[in-house]
Amino acid sequence: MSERTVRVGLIGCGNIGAGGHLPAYAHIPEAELVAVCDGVEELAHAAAERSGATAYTDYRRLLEREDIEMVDLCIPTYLHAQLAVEAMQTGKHVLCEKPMAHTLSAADAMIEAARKTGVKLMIGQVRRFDHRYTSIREQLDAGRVGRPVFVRRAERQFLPFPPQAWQWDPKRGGGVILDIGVHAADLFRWFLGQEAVEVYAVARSVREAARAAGSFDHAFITCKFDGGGVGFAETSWAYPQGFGGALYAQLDVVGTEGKIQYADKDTNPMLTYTTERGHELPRYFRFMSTTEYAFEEEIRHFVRCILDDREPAISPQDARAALEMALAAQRSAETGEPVHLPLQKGVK
Amino acid sequence: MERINLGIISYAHPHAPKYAAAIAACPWADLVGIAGLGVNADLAAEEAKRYGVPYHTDYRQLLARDDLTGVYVGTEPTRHLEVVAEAAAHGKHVLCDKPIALTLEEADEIIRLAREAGVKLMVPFNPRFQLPLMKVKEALESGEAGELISVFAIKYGKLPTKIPGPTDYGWLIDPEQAGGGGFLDIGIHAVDALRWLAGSEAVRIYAHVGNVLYEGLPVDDIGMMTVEFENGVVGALSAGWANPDSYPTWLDVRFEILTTKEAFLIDSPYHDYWCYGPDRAERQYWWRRDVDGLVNEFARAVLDNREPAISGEDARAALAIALAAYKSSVSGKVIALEHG
Repeated sequence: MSERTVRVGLIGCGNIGAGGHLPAYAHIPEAELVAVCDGVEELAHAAAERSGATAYTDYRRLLEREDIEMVDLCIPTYLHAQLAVEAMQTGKHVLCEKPMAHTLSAADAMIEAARKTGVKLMIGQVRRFDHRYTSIREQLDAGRVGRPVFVRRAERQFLPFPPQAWQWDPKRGGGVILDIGVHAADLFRWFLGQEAVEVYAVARSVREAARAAGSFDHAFITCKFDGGGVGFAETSWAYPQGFGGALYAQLDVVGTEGKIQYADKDTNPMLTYTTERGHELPRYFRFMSTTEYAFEEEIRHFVRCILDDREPAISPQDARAALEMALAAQRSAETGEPVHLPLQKGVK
Repeated sequence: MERINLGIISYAHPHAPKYAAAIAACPWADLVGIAGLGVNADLAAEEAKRYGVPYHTDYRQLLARDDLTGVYVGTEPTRHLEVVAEAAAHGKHVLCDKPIALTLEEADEIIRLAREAGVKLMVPFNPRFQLPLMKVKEALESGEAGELISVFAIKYGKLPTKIPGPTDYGWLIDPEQAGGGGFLDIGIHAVDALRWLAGSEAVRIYAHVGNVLYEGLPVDDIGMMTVEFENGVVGALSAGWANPDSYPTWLDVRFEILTTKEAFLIDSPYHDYWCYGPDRAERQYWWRRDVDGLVNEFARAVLDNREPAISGEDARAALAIALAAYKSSVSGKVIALEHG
């Protein structure tokens, strides 16, 4: 282990920031969480109290601190580029939640800032650090099912946030296609090892919050890849309240010599029985979609890359590609037609 | 008339033995004869002996019998028109296996011949008689489940040429005789199920179908489709011969359904248990009564002189969706279907 530690400022103490990232730092001795920031004062103070870090309500004050080497951005999607670029301009390495940004030009501004400042930038495509999916990737690498050619994915839940939450807002969050679509898109690219050439999506606004905001909360996305591979995903926030946490994810990877079939429910080793709720598959992790360990692995990886001066396993271009696919899916859902990639000519 | 007399024409289709068993077990029908036609005639003759019924080398002899009420047709789809024409000419009712035909023109001709002869025409799509799906359909019709939003159907099987035994199912991988590959063969059941659950006609179809699993296979082996219905319901289908030899069952069938009130996750619509042999584990079905349900429905429709639950028009609509999927896959475009 390295002698020195990386001093970190966490910006955004909401659901993922306070619930997913903050607790992980206690398990990463190479990192020291020294500052937490949220525009909502109570959230910043609660996070400070839990972690022993200093609370900020203005992220600029946090960025002014020269002892901070890395910032961890867990803020709404539409703010990613602005804060990431500002942080990089103060010389800080940036770990930023997915989706990378809300537009491709915002993503490109982030890539450009990283290039100019020479700091490290990684987008938290957390599935790549999730033990379930890294294990499946190992099986694929070992050729256990031949060459993967088709991936079917489902990510489904009842999104528990109120109608005013940014996730429902097409401008601030982008709805389920952007927010969850980037996970599906990245998983397809990662498992197939190919680049997407065409994206098609059919989407619906099912819940009142989505209809009121004018965003999609239920989508079927097809991605065709240059090597002939295909990904097919259902992403949804519209499942009924009470839809079990252990039912969130499904994955079928069809290869030329076999098939990998994963479902959260099949891998759940316990049923509980209670008088009040009958029987249910319990949730083991705070988030339906992600294990706490996955956030921990993701942050640890980025911290190690800073300490060892290595390039992170997920490049900004990887995250940009996933974003481009999700944006194409959004456009396809709006127009009803397949969308060809790349979205903008001359932009790589 | 309390019971009807049914015969079987051809064991070309892998389903034929299941229909023989279901007819023999049907409380409203008797199996009275079997005719070989095309491949697997040896099996047809063997089955006739097993059920103690006459075997006909010429299916027209079977259709000419006065004691015969109707037939199950298990030929390759390319022969459906010829056999249905003959059956209709003899006034015999027809339970014709899927797909109804390889073209819409042939499907229309089959439907016309049956209608003009006044005989019943039914095409058996198994999901309609699988208990979990029947339950979902009931919940949708009663309003208990609210409005249907979407259905994601997954239907994977093994390569049909791997069916053990001396039978020859090679026609299923011959594009001339089968019209398509794994997507059509196994997917069309689910295509019908999507339309049946939606209770609406398909209007927009986008699909990708291809030969990616088995090198050199002359037909597609897997495909996926998104279909939108007139009433806004979304159907998704992933179907093909995706199950490797090691898979513990022949089929992997799932239906994942979202309504405005409920979600239904059906993992295998059959009822099973595990049997662990010395070197492999297998799921065994103790309740697969869908074929019985189909045969009973056909017999009742004949006896009650009413339209069967799955009509020739239903089968034509499923074929139209499947053909649109292939068309979309080739063109890369969304295919719109119009309904007069």
